Amino acid sequence: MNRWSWFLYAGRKAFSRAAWQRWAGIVVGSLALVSVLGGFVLLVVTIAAWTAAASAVSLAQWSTMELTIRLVIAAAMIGIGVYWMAGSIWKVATLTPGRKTTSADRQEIVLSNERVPVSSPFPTVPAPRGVVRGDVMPYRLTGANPDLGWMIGAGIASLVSVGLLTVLCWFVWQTYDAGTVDWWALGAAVCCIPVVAWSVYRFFLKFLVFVAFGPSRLEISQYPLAPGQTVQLSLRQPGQMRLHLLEVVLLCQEVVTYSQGTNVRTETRNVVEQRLFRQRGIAAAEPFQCEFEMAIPRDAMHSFSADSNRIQWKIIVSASVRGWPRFERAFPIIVQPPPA
Amino acid sequence: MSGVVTKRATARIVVSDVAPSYIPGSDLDCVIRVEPSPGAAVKQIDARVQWSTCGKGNRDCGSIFQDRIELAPSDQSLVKTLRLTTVMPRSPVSYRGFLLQIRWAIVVRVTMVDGTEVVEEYPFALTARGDSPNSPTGA
Repeated sequence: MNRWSWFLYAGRKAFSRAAWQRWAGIVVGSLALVSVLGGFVLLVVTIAAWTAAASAVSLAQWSTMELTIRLVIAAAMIGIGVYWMAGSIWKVATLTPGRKTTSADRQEIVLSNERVPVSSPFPTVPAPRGVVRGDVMPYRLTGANPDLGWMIGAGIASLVSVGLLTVLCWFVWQTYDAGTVDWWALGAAVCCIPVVAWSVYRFFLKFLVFVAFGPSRLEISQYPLAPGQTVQLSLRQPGQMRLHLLEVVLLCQEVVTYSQGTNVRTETRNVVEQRLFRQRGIAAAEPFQCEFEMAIPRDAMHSFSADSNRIQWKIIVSASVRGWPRFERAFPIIVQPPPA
Repeated sequence: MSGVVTKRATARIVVSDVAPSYIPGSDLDCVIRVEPSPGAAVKQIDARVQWSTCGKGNRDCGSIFQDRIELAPSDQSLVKTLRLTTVMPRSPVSYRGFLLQIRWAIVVRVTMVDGTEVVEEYPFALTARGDSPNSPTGA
């Protein structure tokens, strides 16, 4: 089995550093998307034909065997595509950046204030959870990918729009076959094409970006933090591409939720924005690693969480590659009140 | 010093010995004096030390001290003096932001026998160093 066929079969090493593997990653992503969309179109067409059988088109043309084969092929195409996509996403979510073996005793660190069983010494300040032991620094922060929700949303929008376009095309074809043209349906189908193209493009782009950038690892010398404290940070960004710009920003946000009529709205405002690190032109030859300082402003507000009002601190790692959308990962941190 | 929400002024509330600001862990020690108007009778007195948010978002609040005193019929027309003592917590500290503010206050609610209520708030600040409340920029 040669490299390409093995690669396509196993879906491994997507977006590796070698040029051919990087392009192969894009090819696999494209094939996965085409497979899912193709299977979805086949499924919709088959179901549309089956439901139309009772009225206009005779199902006698399709035997039960043929109907079953079509459904199986559609399910298989969707399954293979989803398997490839899910495999890539899962690898990114679970991969350790430096391919370094993790120590056997890695576990959740029980922080001092979590030992207090009854009440927190810092009311309204969220507990500093989600921190594990680091390799370079004592603590590793757990990141969140704000693009994941957008990617899932774009995927659902793609499927819905493709399904709608397929049904419209099917309807137009049926009327054309009967000797007339339903211009309204044809017009609607033509109008749908840009929507479908845009939603599929957006989803594909989000998916590729999600897979290509790899996991960011951010480690910190002390945690939780307090106003006036200066700590060391270590960033390790494996990536599979040459980064045009890598930037790390400390952010403090006010987040408020309010009722407006029957709607509930949320508004966010950045109140502290401090650039911690910035570098242009990072090659993809080796995992990028750097260390820098972070100082929490002396008179800054601590983290605060209530039902409708929050003050949240986070470290944003963002990167951009020419021709690709900007990629961002957020690392929430807890800033406690200063020691008494 | 005080914001008053009164349905009908049937009692006078005076809170004394309240400092303008406290630091976390310090003692808040004040005296509450409730003086019913002539002919009026006080049924119960609620006192609480609470923080609350104000600004664009829905209001959140929480209290660190809460006490309620039901007065005996023989005491309902007399001047009542209470002492409130509590230790200030470490958070949340007072804050003046763009979208939200966090304020601390002593809230005294007096319920009269006829059902009317007199409420007074005595605001103060809880700050890390006993100075002005935190601002977003840390200035």
